[in-house]
Order: sequence, then C-alpha cells, then structure tokens
Amino acid sequence: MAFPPWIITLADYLEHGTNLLVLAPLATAGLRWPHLTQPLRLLVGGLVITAALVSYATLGHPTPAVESLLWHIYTIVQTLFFGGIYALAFQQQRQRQLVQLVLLCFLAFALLDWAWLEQGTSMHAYTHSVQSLLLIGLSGLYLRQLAQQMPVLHLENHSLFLVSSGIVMYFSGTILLYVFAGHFISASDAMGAHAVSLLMSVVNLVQLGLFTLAFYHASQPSLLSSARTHE
Amino acid sequence: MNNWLVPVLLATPVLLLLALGIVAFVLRYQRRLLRQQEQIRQVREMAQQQALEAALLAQEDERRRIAADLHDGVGTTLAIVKLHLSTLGHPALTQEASALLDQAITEVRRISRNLLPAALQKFGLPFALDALARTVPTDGPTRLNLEQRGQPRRLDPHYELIVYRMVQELLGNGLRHAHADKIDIIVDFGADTLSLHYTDNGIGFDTSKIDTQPLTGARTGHGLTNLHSRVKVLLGTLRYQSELGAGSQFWISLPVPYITASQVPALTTPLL
Repeated sequence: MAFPPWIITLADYLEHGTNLLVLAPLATAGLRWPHLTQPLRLLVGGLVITAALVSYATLGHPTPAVESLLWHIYTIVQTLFFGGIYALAFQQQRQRQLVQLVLLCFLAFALLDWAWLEQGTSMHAYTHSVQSLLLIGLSGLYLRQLAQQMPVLHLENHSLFLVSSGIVMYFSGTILLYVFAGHFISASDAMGAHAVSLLMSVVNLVQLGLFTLAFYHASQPSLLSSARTHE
Repeated sequence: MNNWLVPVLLATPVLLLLALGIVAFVLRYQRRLLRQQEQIRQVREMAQQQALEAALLAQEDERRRIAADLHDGVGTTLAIVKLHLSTLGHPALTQEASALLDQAITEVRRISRNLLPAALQKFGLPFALDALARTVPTDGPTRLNLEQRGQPRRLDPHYELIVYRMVQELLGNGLRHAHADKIDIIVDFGADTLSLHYTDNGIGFDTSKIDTQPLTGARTGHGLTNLHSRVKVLLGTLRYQSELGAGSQFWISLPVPYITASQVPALTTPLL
C-alpha cells in the first residue's frame, strides 16, 4: 500500500505547522493572563517548557542519545504539568493528594524505564503508554466531576472542560502509536512514519485548538449565579 | 508497510471517536441533569403556587363565612334586641341602650363589609376601588388620589378579589405605617394586563432589611410578604423602590384575563 504524494507533503507541513501552532494557545494565554486560574497558568508553563524542548530537539540537531533523552524529559514534563492541573483542579483534598502521589509514582516509573526497562532505546514506549493511560484516567475523572457538580451552565465554555477534552482526545488518539512505537521504529518504514506523523499532527491540532479555546474562555465564565434584585 | 501499522492506524480513529464520545456524553449528561433540575424546580414552584392559591382562597372563604355570620347572625340578633327594647315602652330608659345597639349594628356592618366588600361582588373591581378610595376622608391627614386608566373592565371574581386585596394592602400600609400625606394609586386596565402603580411620600423603608428579623415597633414587612404572595398567585411581577425618608413606590403587573358582561357570575352571597 502506498500513500499518494500529497498526503506525504501534507504530513510534513502539518508536522511543522503543529509545532508552530503551539504559539496560538500561548498567545491567547498571554492576552488573558490576568483571568487565568492556577491550573491554566500551570498548563501555560507546561506548554512553554515542552515547546522549548521540541524546538531544541527539532532545530538544535542533538545527537540521537541526547534527542532520546530530550523526548523522555518531554514526556515526563508534559505528564507532570498536565497531571499537576488536576492536582490543583480536583475539589477534594484527598483527590488532590492522590493525584500528587500518582504523579510521583509516574516519575519514579519514568526514571526506572529510562535507566533499566528500556535503557538505550530511542523511544520509551512504556513511559508513553503509562502517561497516556494516566492522563486519560485523570481527565475522565475530572470530566465526571464536572458533569456531576455543574459549576457552570454551559460546560462547553468551561476552560478546564476544554483542556480535559483536549487531553483525552490527544492521548486516546496517540496511545496505540506509542504502545507500538518500538515496532514502527525498528521497521524503518518511511511510509509508516508519515502516516504516524500525520495522525499525531491531527490530534495535536485538535488538542492545541481546544487549549486555545480554553484560554479564550477563561475570561468569560458563565457562572450559575443569580443576581438578587427586588423582584 | 509495517504489519502493525494498518491495525494501529485503523484502531486509532476508533479510539479518537470513543474519546469524542466520552466528551459528548459528559455534555449530554450535564444537559440532562440541568433539565431534570429545571423540571424539579418547576414542579416545586407549581406546588408552592397551588398551596399559596389554596391558602389565599381558604382565607377568603373564611372571611366570607365570618362576614355572613356577622351579618346574618350577630347583626340580626342585635336588630331583634333593638326591636324588643322599643316594645318595652320606656323610651327614656331604653334610649341609651338603643343608641349603643345602633352603634353595634353599624360596627358589625362595617366589619362585615371590610371582610367581604359587597361592592366588589355586585359591581366589580373598578367600582369597588372607587368605593375604597371614598372611605379615605378628604379632610384627613392623607390625601389619596386613585386613578383608573384604560378601559375599566370586570375580571374573574377570584382575580378581582385578589387585586382588590392588593390595593387594600398597599393603601392600608400607606395610611397606617408610611405616615404619608399624599398617596397616588394608578390602576391601568391594559389590553391583557392589569398594572398597579402605587406612590407615597411617607417615611419609606430600608429594602435591604426586608428579609431580616423585624424589630419591635418597626415596619415588619408582612404587608410586602402578603403582596408578594398575591402577585405570585396571579403569576404577576412586583417591583418596588423605597428609601428611608423618601417614600415608596410599587409597580405590579398582572396578566389577568378580562371577562365579558355575560360571563359575570350571578350573585351568590348576601349583600350588606
């Protein structure tokens, strides 16, 4: 099976385009900064650091070993920042403490994976898979809490709902690619690499779009409050 | 192409769709919860409305019964006693007792009229409001101006009674508590709404303290509660504005159905 050339070109453009597209949520966050809540500011921090790592990995031409380390750090940073959002956003203290504990466990696992389980590999698939499962789980739990507690009338305008939707969609769309990353890399399949790149770019696009919307709506809360009037 | 790639590429959109499904489900679930809450709120409001209406109707029935008992029972008995006195043949001895009996009969009639305004039943709201306005002495400390605008018409008797009670409540409060020297009441018979606008230049009240525990001797806000209840029964709106020392204003709008002359019910209760 061969892909038409336009798909390959589109995949290339999208890969570079989505790397640049991270500027959209960051610019929106910059404009709305005074209205951003703590979890959203943490997300901005995560986006800035991961964008810096991606920029260095893409433009800095590091050695394969350093590049592998960079991507591993990228995964860890992304998980800690995205997970940190829920460590701040969950309502009960116990839930927040549990999220912190889970993140610490993840950090320990990522170090173990780097040092022992997948030592020397260019892609740490175990860490990626655990990351995906962990963040999908946390986002799912948070979405459930939002649905039950209804902090706003229009959930689709709630910033953390949009962030969680972006996270769930991104990691659901990429989890299998990470699980089987080892097979793709070992096969050295250029066509496959393009397909994977295209798919990842699309889900990344969706995620960044939702993050942009989340930052935009941070200044437009529609709270379930009723104004008290003499009527 | 790598053997693993095709199934992964096929499964990934499925997972993505599942994720989208979860997000959509959360949104739908929230909408459903909101709808349910709205339905519960409506049912609760309707139950409150019915209870309020029943309480008001029961109150009016009780007033009607007491009015009838006073008129037919006490009033008649007093009239018979007066008749017996006159048959004794000692006018010099019975004159004072007879005068007291006349006073008692007049008082019973007055109380009975207040409990059940006969003019309202017989001639309808516009006439009864004019009659109510005439009860305020023109040379008294308070000058009342009751103006009826639009085309004064008859309403359903229950509605007429409730509207009459509202005006009575506003006027009573203005005369008893507001210490106003000028009260203006405008009753506007609109096409399908009836609007009341009450204004006085009295002592006013602090609107922020209406829901707090009233102090001894202070204006309690019960009148306002009654007004709210009556407006609620008629599904109307009540708005008010007041300030200490700056008088009070009330705006009431009621979506009342007018009735034609042929629909005016026959008189069933005794008139006084």
